[in-house]
Amino acid sequence: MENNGFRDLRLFYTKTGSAKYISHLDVMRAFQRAFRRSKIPVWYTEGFHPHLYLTFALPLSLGYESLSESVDFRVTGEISDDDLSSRLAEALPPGFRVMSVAPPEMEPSAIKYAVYDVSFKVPQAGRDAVAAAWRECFGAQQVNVHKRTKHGEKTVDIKPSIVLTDIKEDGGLYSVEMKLAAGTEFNVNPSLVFEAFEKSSGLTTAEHTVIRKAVLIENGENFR
Amino acid sequence: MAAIPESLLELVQKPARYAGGEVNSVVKDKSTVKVRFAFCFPDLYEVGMSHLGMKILYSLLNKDPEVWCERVFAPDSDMEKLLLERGLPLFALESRDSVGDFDMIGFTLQYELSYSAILNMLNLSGVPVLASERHDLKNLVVAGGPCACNPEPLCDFIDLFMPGEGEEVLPEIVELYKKAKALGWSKEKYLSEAAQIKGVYVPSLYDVTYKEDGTIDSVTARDGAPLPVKKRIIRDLDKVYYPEDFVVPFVDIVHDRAMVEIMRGCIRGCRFCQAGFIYRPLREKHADTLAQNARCLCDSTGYDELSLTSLSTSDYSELEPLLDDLLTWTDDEKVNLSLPSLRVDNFSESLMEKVTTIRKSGLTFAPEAGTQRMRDVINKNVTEDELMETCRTAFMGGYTSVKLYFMIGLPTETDEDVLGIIETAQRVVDLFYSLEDRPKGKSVQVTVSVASFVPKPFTPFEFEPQDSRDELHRKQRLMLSALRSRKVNLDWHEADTSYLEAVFARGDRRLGKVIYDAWKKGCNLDSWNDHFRFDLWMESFSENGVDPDFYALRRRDTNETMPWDHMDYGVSKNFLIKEYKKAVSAETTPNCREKCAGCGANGLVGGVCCGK
Repeated sequence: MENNGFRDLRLFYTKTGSAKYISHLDVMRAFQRAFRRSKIPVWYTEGFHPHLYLTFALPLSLGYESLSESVDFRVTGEISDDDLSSRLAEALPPGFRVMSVAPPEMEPSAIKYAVYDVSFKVPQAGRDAVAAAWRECFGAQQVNVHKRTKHGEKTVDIKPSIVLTDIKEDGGLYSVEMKLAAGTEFNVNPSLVFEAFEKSSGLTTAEHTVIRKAVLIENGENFR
Repeated sequence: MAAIPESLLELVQKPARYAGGEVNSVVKDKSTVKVRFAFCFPDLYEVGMSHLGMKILYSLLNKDPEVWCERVFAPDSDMEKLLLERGLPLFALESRDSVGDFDMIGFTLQYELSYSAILNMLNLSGVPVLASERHDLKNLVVAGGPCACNPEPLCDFIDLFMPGEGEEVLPEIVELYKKAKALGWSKEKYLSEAAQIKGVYVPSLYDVTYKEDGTIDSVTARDGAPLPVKKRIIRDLDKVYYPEDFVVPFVDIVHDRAMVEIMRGCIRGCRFCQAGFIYRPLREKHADTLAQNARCLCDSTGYDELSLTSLSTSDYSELEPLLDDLLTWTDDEKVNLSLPSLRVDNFSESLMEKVTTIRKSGLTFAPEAGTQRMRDVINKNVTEDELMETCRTAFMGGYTSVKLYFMIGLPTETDEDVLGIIETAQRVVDLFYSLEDRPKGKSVQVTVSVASFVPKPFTPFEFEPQDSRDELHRKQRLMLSALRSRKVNLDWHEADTSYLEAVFARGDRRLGKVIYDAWKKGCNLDSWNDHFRFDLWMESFSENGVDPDFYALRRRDTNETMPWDHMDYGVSKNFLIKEYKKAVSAETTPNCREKCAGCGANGLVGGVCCGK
């Protein structure tokens, strides 16, 4: 136990299946309730309305699955890491699975990239046309998109912030791996990449599946 | 194979409302159950999931391994549009199977303005809306809840009603359904057998005739069906089933918390209040049972708010011991206690201290009327002094906002009574500023919420006309013109919706056609402003030659046969007439604990209730 009466811990978990339909705000509430059900002695904020302290490193958009989600919390009593994991595993809603619980090694501000496996369909075009349009869009010098920020909408070049593998097609389903800027400074969502492609090609993409599979720091190591 | 592809959920707002998979939701293997029951709430998820009755009956039915009860809510407009475009049916949340696949389809009738949504949900499920077009035992449509006390407007659509409390009768009709299914009974055979169960009303077994003036001539029963139909009641709340867990929603719902029901019924006898009569007599649950229920629920749900629910929480005789018991752990575990439905005449300082140990939010009280005479008419036995004393206690305890509920359009009401509402609110504001020890540096906010009175069956005012909409609008303007202080916020209910509520509350079987046509024209979810189409309702009345004023605005003679007179809720009609007469002369009736008023409801529980 550290001197301020609590121990910082970071839970890594997956969010898959129907759980992808739960919004970030709802996930936060669901975790608060899961922690309460688990009876793990957790730290509450002090003050007039104490609330259970939880910090999510990188919010996930509604509709996306993830194999690499993390949330920080604080434990106030003696409890083994194994006991923690098993109690949380039991308390979390279906679709959420505990990967690991350990003291945090890095600051959430160190997060620089997130890696996504993405697949989609393009109903109106054939394979060659889609592949050509994709390369034309992302092979260009600049990839400009409208990005909504706190200060309104502005045009941003996301080219320096995205690394895409070559596009693959199988039975009308296109797949691509995206390594996108993430974190507190600048964040590119896979939906922005789709927007860029649709704007550049005039094609419409459909039936997206997005799975976040890793969250990385600057040097490419996993966020821990 | 579920009827609904998961990808559909990507295309709607707040998909978690349709995704299921909430903690404590019940999933069974459908091949191992004998009866599948779709519990339908004819409103959106956020409203339906807040309802305690549904939580109780869902858990109760699922306790039986041979039964799988699933939840169904009215879809929001975007989801409904998608279902229609793609030819997909309305589905139950747990299995995502079509509601049309279910053996029994149950609706809870919480308010009159949800009737159109019932038709809409059946239709979206591919189930014929009219009971007469559903020939098989499968898709049997049943209904219960407070509006089942006058089920007549819904008789064209519902096969079987359960007037009264559901915890015993619902498993009984499901058990009979198992038998019927095993023996291959016809729907008619099932219904005729079910009608013999106490607390079951099968409308197709009753014939209604009308007089020339449009009032009811006679109601007769066929096939040995009972007349009158007696409501079911739970005698001992300590022994009746209470769930150990609630389904914990992901999305924010209206009442998102653990709830324990501390008592059923009410001792007060406010003459406008239907709940106060149809849930008679008062039955309390013991504090130790409740403490156990509460502990169990908070553990299984992880909720950080616990509500003690009833019609009048501060009348619960073991309230302080219960709070003391709960406070031994709620404080440490940061569980916030909420006590809705407090009365102004017994809200004590020590009670307030207990409630505020955790969190200070606003306080809500319901004086209901603005003058003493008017409060005597409605038998709301509180005085203005008591209201002021309670507000003083609250302000001294640090509260700065108070919400007050009132009604306009009450029987015998004059403009003086209406203006009294605003004057009362102003006196609460003045009281705040007169207090030396008021919360420093803060201003007071008094919210005045004014509903339009709707006369309801089984109340002493069932004979009374509702105020016309013009009159209600005039009274609303009168209040607005009298408003002087910016510390008073005035809001009111729309008179149009109250008018329709009044029509259906005291309606008869002839309204079935009106509901059907209004739904066909597009009426649905009428309690939502963005859905409500008063013009379409009025069109439907006029096309069917039905005068809504006949139901809403007509004064009934006390010896008229009411559409619900063949339902027996334990309270005698003579008692209602006696109370009605006392009301008109502004005579009050003491509460049940002070003196038994002889309403007759003690007969439901073997002769002894809370009265002296």
